[in-house]
Amino acid sequence: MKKLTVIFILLSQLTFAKTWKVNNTSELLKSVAHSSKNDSVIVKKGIYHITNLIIDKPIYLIGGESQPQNYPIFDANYKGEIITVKSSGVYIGKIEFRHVGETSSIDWAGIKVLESSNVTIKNNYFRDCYFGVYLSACTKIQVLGNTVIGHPKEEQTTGNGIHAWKCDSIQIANNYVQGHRDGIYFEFVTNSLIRQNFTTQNIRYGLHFMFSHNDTYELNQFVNNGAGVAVMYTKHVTMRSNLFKNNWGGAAYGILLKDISDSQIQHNQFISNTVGIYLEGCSRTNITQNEFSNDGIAMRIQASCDDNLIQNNNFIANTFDIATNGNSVYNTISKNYWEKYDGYDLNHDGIGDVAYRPVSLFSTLIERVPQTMMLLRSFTASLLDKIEKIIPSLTPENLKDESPLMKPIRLVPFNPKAVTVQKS
Amino acid sequence: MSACTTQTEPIYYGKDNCGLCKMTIMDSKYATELVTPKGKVFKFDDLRCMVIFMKTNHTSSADYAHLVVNNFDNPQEFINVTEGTFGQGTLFRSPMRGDLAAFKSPQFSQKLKEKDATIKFFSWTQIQEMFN
Repeated sequence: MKKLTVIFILLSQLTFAKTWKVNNTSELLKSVAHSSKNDSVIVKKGIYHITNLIIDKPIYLIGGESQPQNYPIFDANYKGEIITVKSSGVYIGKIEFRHVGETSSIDWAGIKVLESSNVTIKNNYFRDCYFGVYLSACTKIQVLGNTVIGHPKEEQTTGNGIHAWKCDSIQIANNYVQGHRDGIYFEFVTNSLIRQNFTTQNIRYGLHFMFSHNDTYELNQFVNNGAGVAVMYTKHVTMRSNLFKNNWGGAAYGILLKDISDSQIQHNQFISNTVGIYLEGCSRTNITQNEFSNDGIAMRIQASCDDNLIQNNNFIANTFDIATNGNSVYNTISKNYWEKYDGYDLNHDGIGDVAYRPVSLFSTLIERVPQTMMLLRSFTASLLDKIEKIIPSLTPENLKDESPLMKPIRLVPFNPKAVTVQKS
Repeated sequence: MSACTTQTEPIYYGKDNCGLCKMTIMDSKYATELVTPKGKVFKFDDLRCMVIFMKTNHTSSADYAHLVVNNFDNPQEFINVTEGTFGQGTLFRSPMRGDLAAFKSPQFSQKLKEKDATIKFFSWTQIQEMFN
């Protein structure tokens, strides 16, 4: 009998959660204002002109249709932001956010979440928003399966697609971000996961990390962004199984690593980037089992890096394998496969018998006199390179792989999980 | 040789990189620039980057031909660091967290003061002490 009463009490609690169905703006505002904890507000297909709607209690705000082209449209007419969440436990899904304007002092966003936890933002569509999703001082937020597409009029007048500041334990997964300043931006975000996102055609970086410790990003694709990915001033970051592709430009990098320590870079692919990885001020970072192919410079290691391990990577068809600006070597480079290696393996143990020097004379020359680039692939340059290999004079003598592999290591090919974007 | 004049150069947003932190310069409100006596131009995305750049190269204001910052009030305009007033407060969020904005007119400083009472103003000499 006691059990039954408990169940009855629970049931009656459940039945209190109400469902509101709305199909115009005033109804929507009214139901959000009058709803109570755990209510659902289901929004029918249509256009709703909304600015600065504040949600300050845990409710579910969802579109009534599951097809993206039938999502209800929340339009701010460039006059402000759309939703500000100031409560924990809010769920927002299946809604299209449109036309968020920009101002110089406030970062207007499609959905802004302030000082909350356990908020889920799932399967929404953001179009022409200054910032798409903006998280500030939050914990345990999930941003899943959203599509964020910006169309900036001028290059500097766009915010970030998904922006997180001072957050902890958040998850950003399966999103598609295009045409923003930085696709995903993390600043002071800890213990978080970025997974299976696709960022492309962002003006600055596909992903931008600053002062964000103990984060992991894996299985993401960063394709054709203005300057690739930047990870800066961060400790203990894990980058695993990502694809960095087609980041071309005078100062574009697959990843720009600045002041990174104690991190892992594994199983990534760097394909057709101006510079695959640029390392400056990095320490104790393991770069293992990655593939560098068709890059201008696969890795550029500045002299300010130490104690990094570069092992079991494949370097295939890059113009330069490694470039550096110093002479001393404080990093370990071993057991990599270098396609340009022309040594021999007499004892057939799979490891070349003579060391490989990945820094060519020519890349050292370019470092000192950039104009010499015009001699690339000329007879003189290759002749000098050959001589340098026998009698090293300009290239850092100790920068070498003592045990180069004869065959490339087998890496699990990246399986680009097709990211479908509904263009309605 | 006319080519050897030392002049400031416009900043190309979305293309130029910061001379210190390597980030692409995007935000015109906080961008700065310095020019060496030989005419070499370095651009920065944040005042903080410029000050740290000067310190890591063991140089001071006297070692440069030009030291300019964008006017927060009118980001197309460069102002000389010695003529600028620098504000720090909740209104400013610069890319590398120097969070300092530069402006010239006292009226604008007054307007900012009305918006944010806690704003603090500094001179160029004080700014140089701030970062290292």
